[in-house]
Amino acid sequence: MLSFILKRVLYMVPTLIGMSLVSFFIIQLPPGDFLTSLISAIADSGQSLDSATVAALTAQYGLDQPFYVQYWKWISGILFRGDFGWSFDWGQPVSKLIWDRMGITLFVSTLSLILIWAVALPIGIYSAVKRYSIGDHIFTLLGFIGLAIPTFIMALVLMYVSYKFLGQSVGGLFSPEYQDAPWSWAKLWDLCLHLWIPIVVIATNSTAALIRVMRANLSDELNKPYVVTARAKGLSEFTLIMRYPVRIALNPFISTIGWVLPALISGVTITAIVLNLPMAGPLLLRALVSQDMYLAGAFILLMSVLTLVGMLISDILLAVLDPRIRLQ
Amino acid sequence: MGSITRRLFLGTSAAALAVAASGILPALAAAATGEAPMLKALVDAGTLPPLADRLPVNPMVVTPLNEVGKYGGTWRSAIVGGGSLSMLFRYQAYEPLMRYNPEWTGVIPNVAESVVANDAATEFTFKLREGHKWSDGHPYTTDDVMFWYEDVFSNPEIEVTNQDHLIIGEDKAVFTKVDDVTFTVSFKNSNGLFLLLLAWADSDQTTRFPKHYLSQFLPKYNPDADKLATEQGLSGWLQLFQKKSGAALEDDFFLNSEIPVLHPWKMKVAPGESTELAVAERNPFYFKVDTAGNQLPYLDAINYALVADAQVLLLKCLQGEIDLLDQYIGTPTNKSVLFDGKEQGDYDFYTTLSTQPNEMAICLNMTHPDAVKAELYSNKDFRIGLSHAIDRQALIDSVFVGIGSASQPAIAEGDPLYNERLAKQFTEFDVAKANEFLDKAAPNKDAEGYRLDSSGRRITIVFEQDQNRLEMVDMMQLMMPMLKTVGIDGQLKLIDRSLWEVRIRQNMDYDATTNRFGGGIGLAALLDPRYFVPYSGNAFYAMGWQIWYNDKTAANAVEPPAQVKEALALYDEMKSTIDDARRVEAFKQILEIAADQFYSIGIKVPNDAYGIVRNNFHNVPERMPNSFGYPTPAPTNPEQYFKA
Repeated sequence: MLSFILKRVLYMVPTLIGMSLVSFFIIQLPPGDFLTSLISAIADSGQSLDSATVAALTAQYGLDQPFYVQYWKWISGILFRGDFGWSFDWGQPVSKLIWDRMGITLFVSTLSLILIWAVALPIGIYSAVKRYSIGDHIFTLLGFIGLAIPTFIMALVLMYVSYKFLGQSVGGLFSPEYQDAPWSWAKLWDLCLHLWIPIVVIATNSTAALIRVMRANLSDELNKPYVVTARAKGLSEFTLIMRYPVRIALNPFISTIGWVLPALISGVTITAIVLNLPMAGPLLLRALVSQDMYLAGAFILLMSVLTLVGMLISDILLAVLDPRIRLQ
Repeated sequence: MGSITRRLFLGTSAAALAVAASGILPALAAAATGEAPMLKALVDAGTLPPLADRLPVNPMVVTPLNEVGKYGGTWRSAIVGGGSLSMLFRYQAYEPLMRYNPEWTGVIPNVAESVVANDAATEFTFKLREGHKWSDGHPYTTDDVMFWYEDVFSNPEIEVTNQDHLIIGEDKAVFTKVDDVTFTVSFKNSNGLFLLLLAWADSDQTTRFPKHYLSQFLPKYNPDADKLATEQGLSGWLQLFQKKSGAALEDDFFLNSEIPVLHPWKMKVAPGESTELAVAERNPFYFKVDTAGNQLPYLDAINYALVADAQVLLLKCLQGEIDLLDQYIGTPTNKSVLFDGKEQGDYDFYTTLSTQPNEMAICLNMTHPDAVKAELYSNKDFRIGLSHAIDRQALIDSVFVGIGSASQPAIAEGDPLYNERLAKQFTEFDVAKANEFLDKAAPNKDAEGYRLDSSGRRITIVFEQDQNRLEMVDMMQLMMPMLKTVGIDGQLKLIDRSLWEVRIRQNMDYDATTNRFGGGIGLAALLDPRYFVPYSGNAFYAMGWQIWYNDKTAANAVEPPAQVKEALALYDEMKSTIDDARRVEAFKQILEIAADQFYSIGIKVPNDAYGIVRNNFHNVPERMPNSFGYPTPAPTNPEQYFKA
């Protein structure tokens, strides 16, 4: 097992190098660079920037250098100095910008993830066991509705409801008066008032998918001979279902942990933009749109690392959970 | 101020000079005595010098619009992500040597206490305010101006942006120090528009470069400047200096909360230091007082919520979380929603008057590298034919709910320089006429009824369009079938804004594009006549001519026809002459030539826009011009806005 983990970690190194190369390349694929997108933003406000200035700045930012030079500058800074470079757009070190938003991002994402699992798994199990019952139909209907409504629409509707009927300050996680205030009970309550919209939006959407997966997986298992055998041996129905088929039905969830980790950071981008949440997703999107390449590159690299780590974790967990896939 | 009408009369710089030269300001009511409670507390605690030591000897007196205000409160505003921060000039940072008056009919001395021009308008003597201080208490003197001139502007290594008012062709301004508060700016030739241009939103580098702070980033003053830069992971002193000063990119200036300023508010938390909320707080050394002797500004701070999406901002406005704003939200589509929410949000509207020449100018690339296309697009008959083929009323009805009348890019009706021919020619929708003119330019057609150019190719015009300009996209989409009925294969190519910049500004091989901006009324037209004479990189209808005008030896310069050359010569004259009558005459001739040339095809007169202002937010005019150069609403003196 240990050698397996070690081998996997070693494999991660070339994969990471490849990922960083590809992501840096893709960031640079769209026409223009940070400066052209800045110029268009400037022109949009009715102002103009002369081309000599642009040329001088392009040289100063090193945007005129060939791809491999820029890549090396970037990656060597990260490897040798732990320096992720500057964000052109924000005028701040990239690492500061990312860390600033990481706390709230992980908080909101983890909270919604817990909610999703806490709601989806029991319902999935219930639906599978009591297939075609009234309860199953109701949950299925709710699930499909949740799956079908785009998150941003639901976010906008909930915000409007919150504005129209609850008179609440919408957008963001705090009311303006608490934005800078130190932590207090009042601020926590204010946070709770704001938090329900994003959590509900994020959870509704993903819960539906999870319920369906759980229901399908478990349904497949329920009629297998080992379940019948266990039942014949007189195990109570609850113990039986929880101990055997559910464990196996969980396999697909475990193997997708690899995607959950990066999704924690950028999974709810559209919702976060619509709700104006200070999460990492919108920052990444803006970096991509404004071609702020070091910021975007750092994000993508970070998510690549998380994906790899997540994959490793899920492989290990799978092995722990299901003896059949343990490596010899 | 409340009575500005749609007419913005042409300002006369002679009048401006006269006011300036006499230096007559409303007599200062005894000594300035009022100050904000938050500053008073600091003075009492001994951490801030008393008011008299903070103000210049002769502070500038601002007459409040309606009433003397009250101290305190925060102006809640917002910035939508991904835009340009130069927007902040509009709110907190408009303090050039000269500033526009609120009506935008002329300029008044601002940071400069007075200015005197010689008769030939080649030399301008500025007098600063004695005892004027930066926001950190350090004196602002001629040395700061000379620092910018000698070490920044004249330094070939440092790129500075937007200095057109100081450079006319080969003629670069020369600054000379006279004493601590006096300096002169001289030109070889007359520069009649100098003072008017000096008040442009970002022509303010002479008042934005504190020597005592910025000199540490220059090797001349600090041998370790390079080290300072590399320690922060930058390439060298140049990059660090640019980042700290914003000499080339104004965004950098607003991202730096350390730099001392002369503005009413100063960045405390810059965008980036927080990615949610930027904060600017009052400058205790601000040099203006109201008529009762109270130091301005009234408002303690400005909070900018950094929002990612304009819809969220709209909701914030509806909830009354924004005090005053016209950017981002003042669109025709938002009007009804905002109108319905007036009571709940406790706000009202103010009008921002359009200063642009048209809602959309369609520019065919007359200097296309493809000689056949260039010849076709340059053929006036061809453009006339296209213009007649457009059913403008249909566009107005469907895109602008019927508001506004058909027009070419022109000076607004009611302005003394209004030229009816320029505005109204070829605007009627008449397919027969369109075909008649197009038959002159391209008589042959193919089997499908499309016209052929002189080399026998089907005439296909690809309109490259920035996809983010939604109203233009709507208009163009409606227009394509109209072109088809007269045998033109028009194709709309929607591209990302960034790509548009690259394609249109840097390449020359686009067929056609659309844009707006530029001036179409009063001073705006005089200072930015981009659709009437091809003098700048915004002349999308003939980039080659513009390049020729700016650099005759450039690779892709195209020599314009004689009449356009004449217009460019008149433009030079207009810029240099100090004789106002002559300037107006030159501009009139330029407009006549523009009417003859018919450079670009317009749709309709531009709509006025609007902003919202909370009902407890006072001293805001009901109408004001809308422009970046007149950085709406800054010339209406935000320092005298107050909350009560």
